[in-house]
Amino acid sequence: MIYCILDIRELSKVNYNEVMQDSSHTVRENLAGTAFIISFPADAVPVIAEAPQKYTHREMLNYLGDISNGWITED
Amino acid sequence: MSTGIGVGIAGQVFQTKAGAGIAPDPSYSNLYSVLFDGVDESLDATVSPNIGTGDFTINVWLYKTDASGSGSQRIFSKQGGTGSDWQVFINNPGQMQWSSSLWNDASGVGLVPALNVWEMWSYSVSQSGNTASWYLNGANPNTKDISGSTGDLGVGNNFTIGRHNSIYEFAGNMDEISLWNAALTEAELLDLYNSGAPTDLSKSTQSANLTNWFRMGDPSGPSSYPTIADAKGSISMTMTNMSSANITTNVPT
Repeated sequence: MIYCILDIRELSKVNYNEVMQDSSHTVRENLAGTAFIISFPADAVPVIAEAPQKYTHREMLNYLGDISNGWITED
Repeated sequence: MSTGIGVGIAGQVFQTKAGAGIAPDPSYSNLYSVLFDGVDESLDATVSPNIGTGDFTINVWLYKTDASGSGSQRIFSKQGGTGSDWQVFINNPGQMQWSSSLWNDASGVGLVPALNVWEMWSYSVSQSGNTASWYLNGANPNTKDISGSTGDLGVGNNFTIGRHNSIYEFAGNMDEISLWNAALTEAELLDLYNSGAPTDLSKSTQSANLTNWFRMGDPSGPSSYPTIADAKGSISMTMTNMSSANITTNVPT
C-alpha cells in the first residue's frame, strides 16, 4: 500500500472508490485539520495522488510518529 | 509426522498445539485475525461494552509489528454515554496502559509488548476488591491498588478498536478480544492462554461471565467484511478504511 498526504482542500475531490478510505468522513486529518491521508495499491495510483510525495507504510508510520509533523500529541 | 492440523466433522480445519494436551475440538477454530496499519484503520461501534461499576477483565491477543514511535498506540477507546471514558493503549515507553478519569495504570517496565510475536494481554480489575492487574500471557501480574479511585465506567456511545479520535499508531494484528464481567484470576487467565493457543471461550470455566467476544474474522474469514461480529454480546464493529484483506490468517497457535 502507498500513502499520500493531501491538502484538506482536496478532500471533496477524492474518488473514494479509488482509495482505501471509506469517505471524506473517515479520513485521518492532522491535528491542525489542514491535511489528510489517502492510501491505495502501488499499481493503482489515483490521478489526485500522481503529483504529491508518496510514502511506503514504513515511511508513513515514521512520519506520523514524529510529533513535530503535527499528527499526534504527547500524552 | 503429525502436523497438529486436521479437518473436523463439518469440514472445519482445527489446530492443536503440539504437546499441550488439549483435545481437538472440531466445533472451534481460530483461523483469522484483523490487521491494523496504524495509520487510519479501525473498528468502530456506536455502543461500548457495559462495564459500569463492576469487576471486569479485558483480554486481547496482540501481534505488534511496529516499534512505538513518539505517539501512543491505541487499542481500545470508550467515549460518551454514561460513566467515565476509558482507553487501553501502548504508551510512549512501550507499556500497555489503562487510562480513565478514575485511574491510570501502566503494565510496568517489565511488561511491554514484544514485536512480531503473539501475546495475550489481560487487564483484570476488581473494583469490589480495589485491585487492578496487568497480565502477560496469563502470568507475571502487575497489580495496582485502586482504593478510592473506583467508580462508574458506564456504557459509551462510541467504542473503537485501533484508534482514539484521530490517533491510531498501533500497527499489527489483534485477535480473540474478550470482555468479562468478573476479575479473572491468574489461574483462569493462564487457562485462557493455553500455552499460546486460544480456546473456545464459550466453554471456559468462566463462560458465564463472558460479555463480549470479538473473534476478528472467524468463522467466516474475509467474507465477513465489513463487519466484525460479537460472538457473545450484541456489539457489531464496522471495519473503517479497511478491506476484506485486513482479515488475515496470521493467528496465534
